[in-house]
Amino acid sequence: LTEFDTPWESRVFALAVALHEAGVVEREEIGGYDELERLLVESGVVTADEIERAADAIAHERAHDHDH
Amino acid sequence: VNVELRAAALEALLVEKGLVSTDAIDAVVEHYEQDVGPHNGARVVARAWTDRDYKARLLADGTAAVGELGIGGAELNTLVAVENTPAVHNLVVCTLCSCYPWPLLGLPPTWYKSPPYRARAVAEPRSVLREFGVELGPDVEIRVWDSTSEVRYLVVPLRPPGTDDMGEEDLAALVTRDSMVGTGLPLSP
Repeated sequence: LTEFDTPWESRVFALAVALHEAGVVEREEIGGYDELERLLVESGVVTADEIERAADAIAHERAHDHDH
Repeated sequence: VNVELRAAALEALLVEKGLVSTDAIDAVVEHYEQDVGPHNGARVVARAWTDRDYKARLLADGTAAVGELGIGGAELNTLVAVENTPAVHNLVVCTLCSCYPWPLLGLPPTWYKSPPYRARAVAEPRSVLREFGVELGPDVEIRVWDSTSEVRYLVVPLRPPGTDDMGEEDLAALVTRDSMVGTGLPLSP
């Protein structure tokens, strides 16, 4: 995916499309991660707190993986 | 927490809540990586370069004309093709978000979605083009097209000189993604 700086950005794009197809978000095009997060938080699908905690958990998992 | 981690966290959360599945996301990535890409747009441009009647149909009704080549989909409600001429250069932007003719060009590049491009393409298109390496003469008029979820634009760039003998397939290889957004020119043979 040369069009993207990093693959995670295309993952966000795909997530947004999949959410649109599933009827979770109305808009098809999302400017980027920040916009997607804002939309989902504003519509009450997730809370910023939940994301924060899940991100911490993933960071912890990854750090743990690197130890071994 | 960095944004990449937050993105991974958000995906995991939404999967956990049953709102979306990992398979569905994988399918979207795969579709846009493998089935769609700028080559669809390039086929359209090469056809327009070699078939005068097709070009006329493309400029009159973009959606129908790309449909003739089997390209379409929900993201292409209305496709408007705009033609570059020696006097006019077209540039496409989406000032509101990142509307883009995916079925023709694949995934939008990062810069297309960036706030500086979205703002500056309208305010100072000439300097934006210069930064992309496109130098236009002072007489060339720049037309900026602002995409919406209903209307997407495809730039038909000028056919490069020295390509008179080339067939459609070889011509398509000269048509870059950026040349169909207006931030670039086709390659030279």
